[in-house]
Amino acid sequence: MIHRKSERELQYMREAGRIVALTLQELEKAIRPGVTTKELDSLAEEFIRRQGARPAFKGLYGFPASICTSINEEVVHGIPGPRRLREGDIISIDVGTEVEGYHGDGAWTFPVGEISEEAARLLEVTREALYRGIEKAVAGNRLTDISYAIQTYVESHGFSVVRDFVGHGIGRRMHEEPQVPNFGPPGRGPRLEEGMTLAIEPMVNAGTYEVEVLPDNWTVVTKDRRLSAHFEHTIAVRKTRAEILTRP
Amino acid sequence: MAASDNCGIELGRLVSSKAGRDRGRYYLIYEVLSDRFVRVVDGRIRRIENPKPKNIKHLCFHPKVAEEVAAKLRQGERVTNAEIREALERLISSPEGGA
Repeated sequence: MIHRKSERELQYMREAGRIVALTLQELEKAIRPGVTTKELDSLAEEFIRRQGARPAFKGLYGFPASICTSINEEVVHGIPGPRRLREGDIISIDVGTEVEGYHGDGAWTFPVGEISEEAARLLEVTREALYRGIEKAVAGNRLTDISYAIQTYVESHGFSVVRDFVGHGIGRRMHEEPQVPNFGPPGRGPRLEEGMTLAIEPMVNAGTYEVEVLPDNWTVVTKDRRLSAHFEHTIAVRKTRAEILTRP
Repeated sequence: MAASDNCGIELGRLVSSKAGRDRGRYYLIYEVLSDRFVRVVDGRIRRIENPKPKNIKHLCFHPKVAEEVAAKLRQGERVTNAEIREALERLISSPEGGA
């Protein structure tokens, strides 16, 4: 069952999403060589709570922090710690919030200082892939029209999309039905209807799409240890154009 | 936070047949032969003595895994047909909830 949200429910999700976007903006300002991911986590947690929301990742499936920080070859679910950012790194930050029982989920990959040309291109392609996917999230389309748009855009630029992790429905819970893969043929899966809320999140690798999970049981890294980027918005399906909920 | 794709090929996963004379029938994955072929069992018609080979293209993957069966299979322990039947029944009757 995919739950379609009422206007009242969407109001809460807009607020949760707005706080996600604001938090990412705050974090962007703090990103520079020398800062630790733990510092970013504390900053985010404090900011989210001050906005009257709850950091929804904390304790979710046992995750120990408020945000996920994934550097370079780390794809998603990196745990904040004492590691310091260095010039030339890329860092993906994933933020989740909860307001009145409703969730927002968004991610962005930021450059740390000057980054390589390949890294810059990876970020650009992943961000654009997200928006290509969002374009397909309109009522009447099928779910995997989103997946197909993302995959074809990414692969036409010589990168690959992660298979083992996927986007998801979102609302009362962080992860609801349906799964939103970033790959596969179009025209499959449930038909999209107004009020469905989805977290669309391409995870794009510079090399192979294969990933593995580190012994901390959270951090996902690329198998070939090449770079990976991650951009995510929570959206609501609408008639002519998806509404992006994770925006300031 | 990304959801892990909980519909991959793995031991103990609930699947149903999309094609073949067994179409619509539910099974558990008993053995993974390659990235395209698996052997499946239902403990009734397809018992562990003769698991059915299936092309994954002809299977529908469900977001449910029989954890106890999977754990035993991974360790190479014996699983009985009764256990398979029990697990199948339980998975089929519970609502589909994805994490």
